[in-house]
Amino acid sequence: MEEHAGVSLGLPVRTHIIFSLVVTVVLAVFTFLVARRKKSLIPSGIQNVAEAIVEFLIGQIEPQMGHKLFLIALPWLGAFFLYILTANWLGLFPFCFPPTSDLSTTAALAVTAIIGIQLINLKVNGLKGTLKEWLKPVWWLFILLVPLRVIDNLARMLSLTLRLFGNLAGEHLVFEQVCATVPYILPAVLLLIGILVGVVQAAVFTLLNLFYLVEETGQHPEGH
Amino acid sequence: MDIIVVKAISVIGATVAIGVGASMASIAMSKIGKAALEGMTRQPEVAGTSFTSMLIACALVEALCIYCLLVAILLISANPLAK
Repeated sequence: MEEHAGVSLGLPVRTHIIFSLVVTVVLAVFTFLVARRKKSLIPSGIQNVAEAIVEFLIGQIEPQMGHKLFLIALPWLGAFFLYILTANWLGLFPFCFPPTSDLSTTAALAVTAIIGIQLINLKVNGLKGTLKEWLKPVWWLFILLVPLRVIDNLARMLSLTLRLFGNLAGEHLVFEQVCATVPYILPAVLLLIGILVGVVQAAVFTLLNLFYLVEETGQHPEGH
Repeated sequence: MDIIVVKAISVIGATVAIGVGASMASIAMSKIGKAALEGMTRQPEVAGTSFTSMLIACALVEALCIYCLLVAILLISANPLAK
């Protein structure tokens, strides 16, 4: 899955690293364009896009994390959502390769997410609170419960990686094959499907991240 | 000769893998969609939450189908048994 039609640069750096840099540059340009204009109370144009994204995230995070931890969770989840969304949508442009269709990028994102959730747990609950959380029902079953939790976290890393990688690599592969055989109407339909898949996979990664965060820090979602 | 047999059987295995994976995933997703639609028509005010939960459940089921797809692609293109 390393060769792909259209993009093979003769550099000693792998392609997905270059396109990760492209994603970072695109996000930096977007943020600069949003922050530079006068912010009005009634948004329009690019401020509208930014506000829509932040409102979607707040609407998902606020009921589950509570008012105090919501300020820690919002940048964490927002970074993941924006990065994965831009990386997924980058594959729809010609001569571009979505960095998340390579196993390295998705593995890095998943490992960062799981380890970062444990670090947020340490920061929010403190060292004693985290130990209490890990020995939750009864402390003298820790021989059984701690390995179970570790395996649970490893399985979450694996599933996050493979879900994002499989969806995007599969979609990119199918798109290449279709462009090679039926280059007339079908690629346009596949591009529309690619937009949907990009948004859904970014949202699923972020919402699973939120769910793991809520579970690992032991929050009780309000209204349940 | 051995390599040809291994490749032929791995092609059949790849077909079975992706076929079974996709059909089981589609059965599960139809049940999820049916439950979500019933909930949305009974109580229109939880339609937003219900739709989001349906999408997350669909993505979780689809991940299992993607594992089957990865096995199929591995067997066809990067088969470790056929060198």
